[in-house]
Amino acid sequence: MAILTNYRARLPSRKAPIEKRYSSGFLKDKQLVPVEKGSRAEILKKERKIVEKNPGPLNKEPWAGRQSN
Amino acid sequence: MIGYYLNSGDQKGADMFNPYIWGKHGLDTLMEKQLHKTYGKDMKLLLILYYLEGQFSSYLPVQPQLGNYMKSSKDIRVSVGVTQAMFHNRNEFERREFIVDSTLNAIKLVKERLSKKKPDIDFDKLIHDVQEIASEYLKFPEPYATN
Repeated sequence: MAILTNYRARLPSRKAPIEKRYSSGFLKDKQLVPVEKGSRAEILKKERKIVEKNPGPLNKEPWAGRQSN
Repeated sequence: MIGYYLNSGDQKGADMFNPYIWGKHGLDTLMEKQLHKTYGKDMKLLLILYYLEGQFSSYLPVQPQLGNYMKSSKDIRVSVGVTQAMFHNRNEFERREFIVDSTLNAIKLVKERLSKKKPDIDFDKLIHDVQEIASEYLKFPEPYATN
């Protein structure tokens, strides 16, 4: 069982629920635990900070890991 | 063949729910060992998505909802809402019963949905095997979550 982190990294649309973005094979044996709730703008800001400081393997943004050191 | 995904409303709920599926004696752990890899060429995965009520939960289906059968990947999803009354406030045995009942119900829903297409899936054997594993699953002594 794995835990999905940085799950918004592949966010294509503000309406699509996360489960629709991944195949069933990928979702199998995974769990998602939201840790915060807020407006899209707020959460995107927080996500960017997390991606800059502590990127996951799926974070391909140019700013991923910029502040990791 | 049968897989689980958990969308938990909060960490506490996830910690409570996890052992019943992926713990040492969890239903998925038992099925991984004992269930056949295939029950016909038309089904590779039946994914059960549990949506647990919690602090941050945003989606909670009232009735189990069937997704579309994906012909290319040969899988189908069933979304199941889990409210506090259905799980959190129950005792350990009732929680295990809920996991078993929702799993069997999901298989039956998929069987009904796909019946017109007459797929090559042995649902009866799958249900029989899951029932056998479930009877073993329900027999583990309490406290279950720490075993």
